[in-house]
Amino acid sequence: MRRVAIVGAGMTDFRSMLPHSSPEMIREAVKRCLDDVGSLSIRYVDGVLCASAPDAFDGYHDKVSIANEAAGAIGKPITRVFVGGGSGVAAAVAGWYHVASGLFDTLLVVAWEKMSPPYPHAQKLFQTIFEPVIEQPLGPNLIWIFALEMRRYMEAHNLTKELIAEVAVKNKANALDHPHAQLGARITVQDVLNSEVMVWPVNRLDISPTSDGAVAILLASEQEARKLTDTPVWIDGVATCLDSQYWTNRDLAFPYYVYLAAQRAYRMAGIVNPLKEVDVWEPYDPFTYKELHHLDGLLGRPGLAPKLLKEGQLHRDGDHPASPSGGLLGVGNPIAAAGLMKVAELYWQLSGRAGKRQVPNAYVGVAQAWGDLMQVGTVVVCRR
Amino acid sequence: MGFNKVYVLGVGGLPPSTSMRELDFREATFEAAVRAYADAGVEPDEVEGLFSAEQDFVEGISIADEYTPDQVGTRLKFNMLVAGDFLEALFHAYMALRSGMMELAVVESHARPSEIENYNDVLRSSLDPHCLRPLLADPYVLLGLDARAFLRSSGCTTHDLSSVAAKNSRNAALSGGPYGEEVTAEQLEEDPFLYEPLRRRHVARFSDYVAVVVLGTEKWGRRSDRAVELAMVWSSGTTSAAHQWMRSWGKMEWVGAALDRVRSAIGTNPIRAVDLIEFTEFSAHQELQFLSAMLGSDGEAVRMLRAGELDPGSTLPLNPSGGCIGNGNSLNSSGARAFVGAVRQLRGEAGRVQVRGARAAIVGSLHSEISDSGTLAFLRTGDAA
Repeated sequence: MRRVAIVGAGMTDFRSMLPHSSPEMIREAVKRCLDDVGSLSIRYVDGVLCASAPDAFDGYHDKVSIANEAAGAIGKPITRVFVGGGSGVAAAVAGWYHVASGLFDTLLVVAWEKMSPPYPHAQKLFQTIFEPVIEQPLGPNLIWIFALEMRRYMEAHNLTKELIAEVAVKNKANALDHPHAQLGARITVQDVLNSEVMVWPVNRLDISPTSDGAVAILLASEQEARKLTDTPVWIDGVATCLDSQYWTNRDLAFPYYVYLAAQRAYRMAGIVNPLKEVDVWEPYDPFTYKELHHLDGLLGRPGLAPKLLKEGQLHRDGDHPASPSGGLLGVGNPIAAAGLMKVAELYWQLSGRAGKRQVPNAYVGVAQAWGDLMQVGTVVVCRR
Repeated sequence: MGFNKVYVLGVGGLPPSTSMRELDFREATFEAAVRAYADAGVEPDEVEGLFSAEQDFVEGISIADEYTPDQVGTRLKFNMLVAGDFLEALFHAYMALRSGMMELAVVESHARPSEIENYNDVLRSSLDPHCLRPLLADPYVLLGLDARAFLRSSGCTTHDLSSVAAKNSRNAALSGGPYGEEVTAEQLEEDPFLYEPLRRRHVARFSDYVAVVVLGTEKWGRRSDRAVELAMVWSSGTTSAAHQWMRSWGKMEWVGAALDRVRSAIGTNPIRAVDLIEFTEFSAHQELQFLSAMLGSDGEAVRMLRAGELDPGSTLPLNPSGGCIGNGNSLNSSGARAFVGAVRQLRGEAGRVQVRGARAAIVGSLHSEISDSGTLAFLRTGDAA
């Protein structure tokens, strides 16, 4: 297979209400990405792949038209992909096959989300993702179904809320070192437990915020990558996996779709024992329990992640650092952009440019996102 | 470094109709998938990935790929939703297969405009909310503007547009398209203007459609004597954005870039290599615009039309299926209908609209009715492959 590298990355601040429009956010992220590659001209880029989740957030039908001019794609091939919350990492996956197919030598991948327009909250728009005949009439709320899943996960592995709250403490502290973070903070487990109960067992501080933001990465073939940078980060494994729409028919204790996606990506990347071979993890953490839940899937061992957390191994200075960026809980959660932020973090970590967030001796990293109706897993494996 | 060749192994679709109300979209997709797998001679379990073409506001559901895997038999497989026309999802599947990441994939698209009460408002919401939406109660006005620019630059007349619409309506009468009718250009010239210079039947009316296409690499293509090679797919960019300020009115500049990529893939001028063209003309002028861009000459396209060279059985049959004017505008599935029609032509299974000896075809689709970007696919079979 043709090798594909990440050669640059850039992002906007993640904020609850950025004063920028979506095109302005995209333009800023793209400019920072191209500046990261020695002020590369957009003319050098063969095409653009963009991702943004529901059209409803922007109030646009077919919102690729928001991105084409802002990303500098006029006259260039541009398509848009999305798989809900999994979109950011899915964009990296789709970007990978653009270049790996030999049809593109360089490709800009840009993801954005502007969740602030549906003021006061995007929750009402999320109702439109549910099944229209059986589920939508019940007026479902995303937090309800995540509460069901968290409850099931706690039950399956006999987990306490105190332990799960440590994910929020860890990630928000990590985010203090991220220059674009929305909710970096030094908090305690007690702060999480004392925060408002949204839907038991989910407290307010168990949840990532709604955010505005955009992220861009530049992909290149091996030949182009060698010209553009001395520190390419190779995407060696990619996969997505979509489970059934009927989420009520699944055992919510284990994200089997994440497990399968990870196994396929590892196979591509030649990884046999991820616990030993992966140095840095960026699992999708829109809720505290989800980081552990997804890590279980990525590691292929139900219940292992909570044990690693308890032993302090998921901290940035631990043996298996998870979300050293600060994750969605700390950096923010502009849906599609959040997933691509995790891929960008792998680029910064593996190229040794993560600054105060740097994980020592990081050679192999895994980023993962999750979405649709709790049913899709998207995974990339990167190498220095 | 070698890249995989890609083949169309099977196609399955329900005939376009003014309404599929007797079937839920999930039932219709399931039916199309069953037909596609039977046509390809593969089992759903063997498929590695699904690419679907969907748009939220058309579905009435956000993130509609949630509802695809169960119907298509791709639960727990690779999945990618591409927000655009079917051919754009095909472009993604083509690249994934070509790269070697998978060997067998399906592409799915469905559209049910019969269930959309306010499609014009949906389409209008693809435009800039400050500058254009307040001005355009009906976004199809842009089609009229584009048609006027084309007529001015090409020397075409409204009668030529009626000739295109009449040709496609007659073709669809043979292919079974829901808007097929035996009609002449002169009769269509009696239609009132809808978006001047476009008359009522110059603009495609809506139809429901669903299709599933099975693609495979050479490993699979070798197993079937009915496989059609998908030699190249290329999706080209727009000249404008949501505000339309920079648009090249009256022209389809995207076609040139796509044609260049097809030419370099097949090693010859595609227009000389093909036996037929299927294109998603949402209005009559777009078909001539497309052909003009393919030929690099406005005048030649009009000459061919007037000489009857675009008719079935002539030099270059264009939309022998009847196109969108004869089969309906199936929104993001329009490209699927055109693609399935072309595959059937190359397999000699197009029935009463069969182009004799068809061995190579170009399929083109617009990103949307009012978009100035699109996708080209080049198909070939037998000696042409």
